[in-house]
Amino acid sequence: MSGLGDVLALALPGALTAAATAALCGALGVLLVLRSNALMGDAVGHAALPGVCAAWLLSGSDRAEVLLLGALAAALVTVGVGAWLRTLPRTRPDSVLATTLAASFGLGALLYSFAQLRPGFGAAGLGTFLLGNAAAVQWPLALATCAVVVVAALALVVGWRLVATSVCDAAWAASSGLPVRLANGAMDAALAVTVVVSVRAMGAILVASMLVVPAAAALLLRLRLAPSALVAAAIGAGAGLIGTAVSVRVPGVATGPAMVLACGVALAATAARRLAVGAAPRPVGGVP
Amino acid sequence: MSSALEVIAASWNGGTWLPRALLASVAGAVAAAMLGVLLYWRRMSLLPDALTHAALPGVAAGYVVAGGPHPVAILGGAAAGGLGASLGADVLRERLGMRADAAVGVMYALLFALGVVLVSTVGRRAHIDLDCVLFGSLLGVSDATLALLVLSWVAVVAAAATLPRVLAHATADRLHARAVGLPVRAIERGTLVLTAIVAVLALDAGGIVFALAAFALPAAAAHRIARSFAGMLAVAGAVGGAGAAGGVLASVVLDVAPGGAVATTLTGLYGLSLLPRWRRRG
Repeated sequence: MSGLGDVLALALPGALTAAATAALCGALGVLLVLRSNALMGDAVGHAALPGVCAAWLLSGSDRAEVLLLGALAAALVTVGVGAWLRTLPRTRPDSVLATTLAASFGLGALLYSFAQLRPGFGAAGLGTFLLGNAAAVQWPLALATCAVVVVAALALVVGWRLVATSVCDAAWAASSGLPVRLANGAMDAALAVTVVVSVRAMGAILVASMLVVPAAAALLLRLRLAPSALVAAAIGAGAGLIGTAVSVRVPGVATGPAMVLACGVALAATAARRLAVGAAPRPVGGVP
Repeated sequence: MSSALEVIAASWNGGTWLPRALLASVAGAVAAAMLGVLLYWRRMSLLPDALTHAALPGVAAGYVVAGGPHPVAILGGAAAGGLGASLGADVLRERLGMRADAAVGVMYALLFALGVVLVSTVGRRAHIDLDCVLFGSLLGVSDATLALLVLSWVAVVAAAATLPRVLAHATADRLHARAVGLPVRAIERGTLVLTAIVAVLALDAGGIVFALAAFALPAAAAHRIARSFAGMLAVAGAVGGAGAAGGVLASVVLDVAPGGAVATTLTGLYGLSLLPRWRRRG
């Protein structure tokens, strides 16, 4: 039986895609968790499903670029609608998340079952957008995905001080004249892009998990912000490789769930270390 | 289209599946909508989301152990999953100092992933279909699930009709409610237990989509429209019932998944609640 390396060589484009997008998810997830917005990824991730289905139903094309453009449009609309709903009177932030999630997932379920009635549904492989299938990723998509991830990572590095300041102390950042709203908008847009490039490897339903679990595991180590983001990215990348290998070798296991469970192992490790060190508990990332 | 309407007419006269599906979805959606109002005021709108996702491995295990959709095994498994999630989140929060939303998010992410793996490996042999878990099978709801749904519907509506002021006090201002001697703890625990039961029943009957939409959307719409707590309960119940009935009928006519159709109908009703006319009144 072949080892991990042989399996990965076979599914190299998929493994690369999974590792790169999971690393981006990990780094961005740290910022989301610290913004007390860990479940925002849940709403945006589920929004990719109606986007993918609508793009397939409207265009009749099963090219990954077309479907991912649909997902991007849906994710941006969800982020925008969520931001607008929060400005209305008589709404609650947690309820806005729950309603946008239920609305987008419900619409996605409806369109998905429409799509199931169409001829060519099986060939289009919409099912792989639900739970992810890294092994099905071809080189052109893998390279395009990696390019997007590199651009997003560069943007994160360039805007790091602004983003870090507005995440850790929004009130102070605003009072000292920093463009906090710009930073939040940029993070929301980055979230939408991240969800979209991740959806092929992880699936619309599991992207949300990859935005929370690696970040939570890294934050348990109580490092400074930048090292936390790097550790989360590393956990995500490792989980991407392991998840791809598992999904290629074990029939019936999709890439997304395998990646999330691999992150669960990392979380157990950092949690065990935290308990062994035994420092007095304090809220992750400073004052809540 | 006309043939689909004939199917509806025929099933009203002779068949039983459509009235059963309507009863199950309306009962589940009304109970979920009214409980959703209580969760809304306690800023716990995302609790049903966490519960349904965390219940998945338990549901899958229940299917495998019972060899099919046996409601007791499903409820037991789901209860174990929900209990595991809340215990795990407690450990992450209190022993490890993780933020509450991250702790809940982590637990349900892990349990949901485990559930998906269980469903797609050992669950295959027990004939669970992941599409069915996600998007529901309202048209084939079992006797026991239907009976339990109707029972919770009656319990929730009876509590809301007889005790609206007590519920309003205990939910909106728990300190004051405790000071005047109301059983706040009992009401809160009862709400949580009923939420868990209705969430799992709704998951079994209509899929995760149905459960999420029935808890979240009517309560949010009701807060936009209603002028009082009792009014909010009534509006949420009405929105939930109308959305569930309309969605099931639409799903039969259009031949699509009922869970998605109910959720989309409820989304439309929530969209109506965003119209500016309500805002001037508020």
